[in-house]
Amino acid sequence: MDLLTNVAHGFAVALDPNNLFFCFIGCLAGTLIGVLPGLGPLAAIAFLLPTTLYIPVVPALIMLAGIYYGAMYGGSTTSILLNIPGEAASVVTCLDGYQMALQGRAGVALGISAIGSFVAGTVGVVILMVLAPPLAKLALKFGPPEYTSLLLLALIVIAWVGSGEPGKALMMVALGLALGLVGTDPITGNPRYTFGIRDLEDGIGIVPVAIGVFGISEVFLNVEVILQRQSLKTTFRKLLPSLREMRQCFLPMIRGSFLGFGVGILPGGNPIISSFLSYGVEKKVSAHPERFGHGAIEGVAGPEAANNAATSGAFVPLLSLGVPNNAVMALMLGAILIHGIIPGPSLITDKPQLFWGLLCSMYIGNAMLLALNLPLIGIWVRVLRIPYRILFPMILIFCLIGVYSINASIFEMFLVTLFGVFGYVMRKLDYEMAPLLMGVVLAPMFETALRQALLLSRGSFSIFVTRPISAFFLIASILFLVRSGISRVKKGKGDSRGSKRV
Amino acid sequence: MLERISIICLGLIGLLICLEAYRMGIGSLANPDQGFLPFLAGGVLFLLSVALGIRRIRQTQPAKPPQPFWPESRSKWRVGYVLGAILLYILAFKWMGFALATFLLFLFLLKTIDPVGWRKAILIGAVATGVGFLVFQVGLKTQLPEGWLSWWRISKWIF
Repeated sequence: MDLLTNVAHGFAVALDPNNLFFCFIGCLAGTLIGVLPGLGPLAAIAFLLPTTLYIPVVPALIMLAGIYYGAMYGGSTTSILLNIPGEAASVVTCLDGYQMALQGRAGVALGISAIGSFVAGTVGVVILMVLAPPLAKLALKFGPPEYTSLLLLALIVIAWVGSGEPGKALMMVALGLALGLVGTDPITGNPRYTFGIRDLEDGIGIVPVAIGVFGISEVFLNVEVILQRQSLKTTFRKLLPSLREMRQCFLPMIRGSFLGFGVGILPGGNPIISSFLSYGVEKKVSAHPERFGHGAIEGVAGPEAANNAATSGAFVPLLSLGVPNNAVMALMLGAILIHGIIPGPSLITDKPQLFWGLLCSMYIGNAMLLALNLPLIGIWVRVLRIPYRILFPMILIFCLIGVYSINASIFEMFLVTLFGVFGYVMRKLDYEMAPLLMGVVLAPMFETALRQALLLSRGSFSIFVTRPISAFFLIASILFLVRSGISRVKKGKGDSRGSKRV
Repeated sequence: MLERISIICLGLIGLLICLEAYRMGIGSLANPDQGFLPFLAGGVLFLLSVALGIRRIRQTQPAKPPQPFWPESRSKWRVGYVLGAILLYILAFKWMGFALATFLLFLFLLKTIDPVGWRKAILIGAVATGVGFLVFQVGLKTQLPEGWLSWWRISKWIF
């Protein structure tokens, strides 16, 4: 009964005209971002982060979440029409979506991708309704040692699951932690690493780092080479799939939704992994796997549902434990922290309007995407043709003025440029920036939890292993490290054998 | 080569973080001081860079074929132009004002990176500056610097 009351409350919050407006803005901006070349959800959320300072936390998060899942949908449009994924999670959609477009079924492909996202949104809200109460109860058992171990696990996992070398990612985590600790020490009140610069006394904010390493550096990377893109000439007379196609896609969408949600909830889980897994599963269970890669509609429906469900799932650890499991969620955490709210165990009970309102808004947002985007496909196709040379100065202005708007600080504009150059160089040298951002975001929480835990235990590390939840997270961290080490050794041996054969 | 330099730089940064943390005071395990976590973070950064450095020295063949840092001969100029324009924009921002500095930045970038015609550049620059003004000054109530242009006050009066 409580659950239904909470959901009803959530829908009441989400349907508030103000929240509905920001949900609409988020969905629209997200789709636009997904469609536009050279602009992913991470960079977009980073440079739009300052704007959320001027609105209350609930509509701010509703808007940012809308951008995230809207971008997933928008990214599919470019995958289907251009064979170029608008963002990484839409790579799989290229395989069959583009083939469908070549066969003159672009409208159906776009339609099923919107329907798949909507089904995933529905399944996601239902699962969250079931999961939230036990999670809230479990999270109440968390003290400083549990948080320390959990944050350690989150930091290790983000380094481990990245596409690059784990050693480099761990270096970025350590550097991020150090950057996140710049400023006044919360306990002693003494300045740390400020070098006498007064602007650094409040610390290096999440916003300049995020905008620099994701927004500005992305512009530098994109202006290096000027790409000319050709849009597919196609018609959109038929957008809705036939009944037979819907029947064909029903199970893949349901499977994709559960799979995506499960992956999204895991530390390091993200829509990219979930969409690839879903594609693999659909190909495996299909009676005609040979159709995959040649315009199989299930190859679009399943992964589209999975990547959308993963975005809902990712909110569970963030809102219930205060732990982001990927870079976008780290930015979301930044948005919550900026508003002075600490996500964690008490959030579900103390701020039900935030938790349930956000979740229900995602459901409404998915319905909005379905209702809005199908008739607007023609406009998105036109947007696709906006050249990057016109787009990037606008991105730069949003980044620079966005940072300036927070504290009216020229210093922070220089700081964001510095992080932009740093991000650009490091990304070119295969260092990932998501672990750096995670370090910056989690550093204050990690430091407080670690120092409190050590004070509680009077300096004994046994507190981390004698408490079951903490021990569980520590063991998981060690397992991740060991497994990573073993796979690297195996890979190294394989490589050396391969090179000997050559 | 550049990667090796980056590893050395990160190692040095880690070492400096450790030294500064030690100077601030790391305390004890029972009473960790303000330098405690920075010391750990710096230490991890230093040790990882040493480990990675050794790994690279031992590696006879690179893990993947080395890619040129700049994909095209014009790449460095494009990135340089954008970076230079950003720095000049920040320096001129308060002095020249948001409107003029933003318009000039647009004009410069639209004419240098992948050039468009003058008429198009002026039009896009003016529209984008106007949109920026509406979003930040009007919508988000940011106090953007006025600088040289007096129409700024007129626009404030209008809105």
